Amino acid sequence: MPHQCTNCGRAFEDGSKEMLSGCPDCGGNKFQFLPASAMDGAEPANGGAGATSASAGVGATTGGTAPKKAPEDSAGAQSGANPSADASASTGAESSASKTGSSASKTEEEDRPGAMNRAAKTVRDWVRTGSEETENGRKATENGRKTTERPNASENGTSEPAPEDTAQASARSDIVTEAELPDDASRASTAETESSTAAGTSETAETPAAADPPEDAEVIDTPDENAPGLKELREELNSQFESIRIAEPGQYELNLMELFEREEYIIALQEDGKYVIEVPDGWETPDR
Amino acid sequence: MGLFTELKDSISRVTDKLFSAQEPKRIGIYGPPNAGKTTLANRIARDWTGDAVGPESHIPHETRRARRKENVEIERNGKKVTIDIVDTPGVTTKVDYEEFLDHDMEKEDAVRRSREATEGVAEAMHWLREDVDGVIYVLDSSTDPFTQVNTMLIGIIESQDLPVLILANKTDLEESSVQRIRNAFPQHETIPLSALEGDNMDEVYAKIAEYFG
Repeated sequence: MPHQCTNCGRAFEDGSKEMLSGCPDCGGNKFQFLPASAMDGAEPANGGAGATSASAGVGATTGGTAPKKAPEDSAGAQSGANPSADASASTGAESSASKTGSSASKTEEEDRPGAMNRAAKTVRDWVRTGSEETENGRKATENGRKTTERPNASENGTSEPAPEDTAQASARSDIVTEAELPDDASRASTAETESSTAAGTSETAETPAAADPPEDAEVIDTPDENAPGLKELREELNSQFESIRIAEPGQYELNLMELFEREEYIIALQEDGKYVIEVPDGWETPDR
Repeated sequence: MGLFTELKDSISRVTDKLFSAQEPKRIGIYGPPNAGKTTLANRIARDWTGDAVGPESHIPHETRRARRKENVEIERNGKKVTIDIVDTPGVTTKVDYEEFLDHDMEKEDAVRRSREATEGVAEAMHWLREDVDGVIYVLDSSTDPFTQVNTMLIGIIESQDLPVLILANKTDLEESSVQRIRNAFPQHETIPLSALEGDNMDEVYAKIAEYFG
């Protein structure tokens, strides 16, 4: 079954002419090619549609003869199935799995421009602000993180992309060479750069590839798993970083700690939710 | 900016040294809404300067902007202290205009009062951050002191290392329990008083002179 319709999952023999004018069952015109060597491991996974293809992707890559397109397809198909990406992270190909995970979650954001995208952005912004504000706390975490570094990552060189690629390559089978992975690697590193915090990028040499993205991916996953909980999540986040929440005009909830800690001072509230703030002296431009 | 900042810093160091002895301490009167902060501020100001600080009301959030009375000289037991009193808006975590509707207020006015009260809380918290040298924390002794606001504010004040005097106000009310407030904040001295009736003000002034002198 080397060719498979990506839409309905119907399989065609290699060299079959049936599929030349589209899938006779569903009319779909996208097919994936699955070589025989990959089929042994991946056969059971291909039964369903996209949901289980995460493991198929890993299996195909491990098989080594898969064309470059295969991992991309499986990454794309994973967009709705992050839990399975997480599950595959424990299969031994940790770094590649987590990269696929982060790129998958990126795809997810692009696919769903509505509430999900906003929530993901909110979470990301919040995490970023949090890490900037709690400078000391972050340093403590860094120390903790260093001790939990995977030996795998610390063994390999110092520059950022190189150790990841070699780690990735060694985690996979020997058959797949680095040259075969440019798309996947560059995409993953872009996703990683985007997801790292301001501080994260400055010390990525010490940060194992798997440390940041899974954290990020996990946060974005949460609303996906329990979509009804999204509202609660947003409310919880609001309560954590807003100093004044306007429930409706004339009804306010105040976060006293936040009001106390913020340097600028809210001098007037407006009905549309805008604040007028007094800019503290410390914000003056240096050239004055 | 470096030179300018250095110059500014050295000037402020010199002026600090020159005036630190005479500079009146700025004492913030803090507490939840309707605890009697303005009544106390007016009582102190009238006793020592003859003027009032601001209007008092039984409707919560009457004070929605911090009001200051400067150079209040208090003399007790031969000890003289000069303080600036800052009467702050009542601190709370929730402001709802509906609570004002019970006090015969139009919705529009209630909503505006609510907004101003919220701004007032923000202002009070901001003053606490950088502008006060000591705190008089006023509580209504007829109500439960174990509230989130009280715990949080006392915690913040302690974290700022500010001297704090806790006043159990409204002892003229039947339900008043000073002991309940002592139990809530055993780490601080609690002085009972009725700012409205002027009961026990002598002890209050003696403690102000002792704490903030």
